[in-house]
Amino acid sequence: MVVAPDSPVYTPQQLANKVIGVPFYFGTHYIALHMLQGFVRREEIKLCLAPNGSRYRLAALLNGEVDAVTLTEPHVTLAEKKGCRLVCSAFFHGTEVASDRVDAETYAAFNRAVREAVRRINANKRSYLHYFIDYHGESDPKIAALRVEDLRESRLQVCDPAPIPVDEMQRTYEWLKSWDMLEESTSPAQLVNMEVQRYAHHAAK
Amino acid sequence: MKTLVLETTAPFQGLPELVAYDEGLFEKEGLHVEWADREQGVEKKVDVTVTSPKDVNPFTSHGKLFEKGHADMYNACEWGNYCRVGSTNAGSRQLGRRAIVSYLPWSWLRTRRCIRHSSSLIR
Repeated sequence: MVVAPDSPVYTPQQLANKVIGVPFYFGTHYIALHMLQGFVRREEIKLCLAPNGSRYRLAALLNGEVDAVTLTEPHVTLAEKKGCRLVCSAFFHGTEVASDRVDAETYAAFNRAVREAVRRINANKRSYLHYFIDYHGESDPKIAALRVEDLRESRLQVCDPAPIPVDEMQRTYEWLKSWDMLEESTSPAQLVNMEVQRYAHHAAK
Repeated sequence: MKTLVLETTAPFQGLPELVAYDEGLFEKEGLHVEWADREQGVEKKVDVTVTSPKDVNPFTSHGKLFEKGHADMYNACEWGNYCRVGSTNAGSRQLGRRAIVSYLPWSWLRTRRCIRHSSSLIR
């Protein structure tokens, strides 16, 4: 959570009924609901459509188009440099998606490569932080002006890719249903290739 | 060498994949990875009249090229991928969690008056 130096908001519960720009179907949409529902009533959460890409949402925020937005790095750091301050934050998982064209052997090979990358990143996080600047800096001079020293290693967390735990899968499924965001499927297992997931992650170790 | 086309990913959501690509780790595993730009043509405007995901296509960016048969895999947040897979016309399913655990704070500035406009692949 970030607030401006002169903001009257110091706690998440003060975001009730404020217009919050999020890119629907992205992590920055769902995590907003998760964080806010701990502080305000569901009907007091007011979202609107904002672009994917933190650069655009930060610009919309600074232009006064919306009251609040969610951001990812390196734009969190940039927002702080512009005087915003954090109010609350969270981490969230993502998943890989494929069709049957990607078989278990291929996904296992993919994961072996990723696991080695994870090992290298965790061995020296600082040496990989430049990716956050380089990736966005080519098209965004404000990001290009950041230095690696500006970024926090603690905001970079990587671990070996893994199967989605069954209990977490069920809770996520039920939470999405509770927000009426998942209508047609009858079971979370329909949405995961359990066989490839089981084999590929084991074979990648 | 097997070619695998991935939708593009940013560091906050795919740093390990970018590092694996740059440091030759995919090649070492017999995979030739190519990237497909999912951001081309994506609308970048705020629309405060759209207040629910029900009014939005889940494949505006993540999964867009995959659904058209122009990519083999994509990675995105877990919640969104349940929804995308639930709406797929390309037989997609999740294969497991990606390596990066993404960080996100709430960003809030002083309350302002709102402006209310407002193939492949594997070969």
